[in-house]
Amino acid sequence: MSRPPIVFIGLIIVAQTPSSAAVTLTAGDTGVQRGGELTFTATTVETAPVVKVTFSYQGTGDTDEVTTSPYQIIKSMDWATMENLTVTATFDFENIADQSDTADVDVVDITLVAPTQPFRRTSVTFVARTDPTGLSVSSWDWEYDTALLDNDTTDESNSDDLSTWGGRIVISGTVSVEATLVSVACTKSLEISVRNRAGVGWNTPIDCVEDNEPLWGAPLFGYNEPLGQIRDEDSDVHHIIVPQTSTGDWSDGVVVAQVPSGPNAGLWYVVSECLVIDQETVINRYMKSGGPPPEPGATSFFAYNNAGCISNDMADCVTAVEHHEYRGTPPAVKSLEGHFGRMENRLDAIGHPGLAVEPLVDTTEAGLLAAANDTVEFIEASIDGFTTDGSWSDAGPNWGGEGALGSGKHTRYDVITGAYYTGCTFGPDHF
Amino acid sequence: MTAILLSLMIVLAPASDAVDDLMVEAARFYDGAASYDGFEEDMAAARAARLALIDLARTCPDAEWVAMRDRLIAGLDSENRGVWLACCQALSRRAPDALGAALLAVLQDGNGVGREALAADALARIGRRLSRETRGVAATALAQCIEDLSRPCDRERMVTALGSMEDAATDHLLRIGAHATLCRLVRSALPHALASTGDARAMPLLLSLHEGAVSDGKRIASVLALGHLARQIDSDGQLVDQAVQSNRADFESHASPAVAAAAALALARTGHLSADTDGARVFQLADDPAARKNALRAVLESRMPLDSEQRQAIEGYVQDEGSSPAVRKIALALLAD
Repeated sequence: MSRPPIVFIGLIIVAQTPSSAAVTLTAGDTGVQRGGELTFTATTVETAPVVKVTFSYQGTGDTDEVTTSPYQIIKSMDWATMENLTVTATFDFENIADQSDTADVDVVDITLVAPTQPFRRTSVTFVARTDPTGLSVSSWDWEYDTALLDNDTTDESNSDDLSTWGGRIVISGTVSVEATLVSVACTKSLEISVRNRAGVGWNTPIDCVEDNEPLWGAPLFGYNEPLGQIRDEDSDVHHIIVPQTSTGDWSDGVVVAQVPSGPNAGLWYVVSECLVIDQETVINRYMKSGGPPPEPGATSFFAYNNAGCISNDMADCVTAVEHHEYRGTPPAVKSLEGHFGRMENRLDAIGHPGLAVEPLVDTTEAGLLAAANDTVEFIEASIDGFTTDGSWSDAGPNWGGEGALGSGKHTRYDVITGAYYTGCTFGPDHF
Repeated sequence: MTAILLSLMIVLAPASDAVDDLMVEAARFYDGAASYDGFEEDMAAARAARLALIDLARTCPDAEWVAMRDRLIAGLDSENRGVWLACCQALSRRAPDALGAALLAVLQDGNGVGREALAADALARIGRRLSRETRGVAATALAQCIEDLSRPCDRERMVTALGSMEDAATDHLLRIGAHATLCRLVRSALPHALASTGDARAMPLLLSLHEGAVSDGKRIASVLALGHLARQIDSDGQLVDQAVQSNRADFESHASPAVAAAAALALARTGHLSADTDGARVFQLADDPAARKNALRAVLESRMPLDSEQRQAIEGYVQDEGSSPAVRKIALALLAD
């Protein structure tokens, strides 16, 4: 086999290479953040007609062709990052050989890593790093924008390729970081969507102890003193959601704190809450079997009515009062025929107050507690309105109606005359 | 679908006209409650209507507000509880004084016992929002209703409402407390009402009620009321000291752990519970299921730091099947902090 004509080919190459740059490629800037656009302009001093100019880019097989002057391309640099990425423009002339020029640009970026759906109060760390790694950055500017408060910080602690910012996150927002990488101003941001905490710690337990104070009740005079009540177990008043130190104030039921540092520094949030519904029913002892008489020497309410208005069914009447306060007849969870059942029913329908206060955030402690009070107040008012009224039970199996447990009609003691009223004029209308 | 229809009502109708439509919706559940048929759908509709009505009242332009307010006040005459509730809630933020006056009229009317209870409860909830002048008028009217022994009256609820009139109620409550019969009729609600006044003059009566409490339930209520009143009156150190001493005596030596735990909570709320000197006693009380709830709440509200052994005990209360739901909830709050 003979050797190829090496010398001859070398001469041809020399002949086709211009002695000086007859074509020039310039970039609009020295670099760009990945995904940004750069303008590349190719020019030539050759007089030969140009068929086309082909732009090619290091690191990708992508090419662009321009056939008419000006030979310019606006390129979105959305592939791999690289320092000194080479772009080549090749002129295809009609009568002479192709000629090329190159331009080097920096395509850089910031890699921002963050948990985008953290639960509220989670301690998170946002991490920013140069891409490509290893670039020296003198200053990182961080910002976390929310509907309530914007926080920022600058990290100039060193000049490496990494920066972090973190702290407890309590509100959704946008985290962004800015830095200059090899003369290219870069910015990166992420939407942070904070998830509400849920679970047993945020549910509102509802409980009721029946007939809890054996000594409760006043003589059943004609003044319509109540036969029974449902109320808060600790305070003995008509509060539903507790702790409620004074009416409308649930601040002792929520534990709040301020974020000390980081993206949400300064914001107040709910750490935890201990709102509960802890009721008791009380039945007037003056109506019970063996209860005291309204006045010394008088017949007891139970004995008098058992022999008269509620003939031999007085025990059922007492049970009916208990059921009215609790879960109706027959007793059933969420019964619409008992005060406590209606509370259970309503709580489920309107939602638990703990879950409602969980997302609250404010710039001040007082503002947060006021928001918590407003939130709980609405829920309590809704439950209260649903359960307070006694008229709903008139037609149910507990009171009234054929076969009902308690007839309810009874007579009361008149302290002026020292005797019971003559008619069965009092009904199941006051609990 | 209900929400869409309600939204259309609001968009298409003048604000004051939409009130009537929403009232009809708000009434549905309460109209049909006796039949128990389709109650879930009616309940959802009533709730949506009430929320829409509240929002409508909140956003109503000033030019239309007077007409809407008058319609809402007229709605308080309704026998339907859904309408009643909706009107109360819609009025409570923007026109508390007008609502207060309407509620007082219901109470003074004295005919419908059911509506009286609702009115007293509603008044208790808006008491703090009333102007000072209206609070004074309301306190006098409530006291007259309570003191009129010849009329049917839910006195305990009215006393709670009276307490919400804050310092305007003190004189009336002291008078009621000094009246043997009245005091006996309202003694369940009286401690809390006295504490709600925030008035130092209520302290002696409150201490006296506590001394005379005949059951643990009553003692717990008065212990907590003492703590609440003491927290508000920093002007009179001697009275605060009396309340704190009473609470401390109950905390340290009361035979009932439930009462002692309530005293611990009262002390926590006045800043007189120390982790160093009281921590062991509080956790000892928490071992008793009857006292656990308030003992743990005292730990929570005093922000007492927990050591590993105490955290372990609290984790045990979460797991303990004998713990009430409320105890578990408070224990979880402690572990979260």
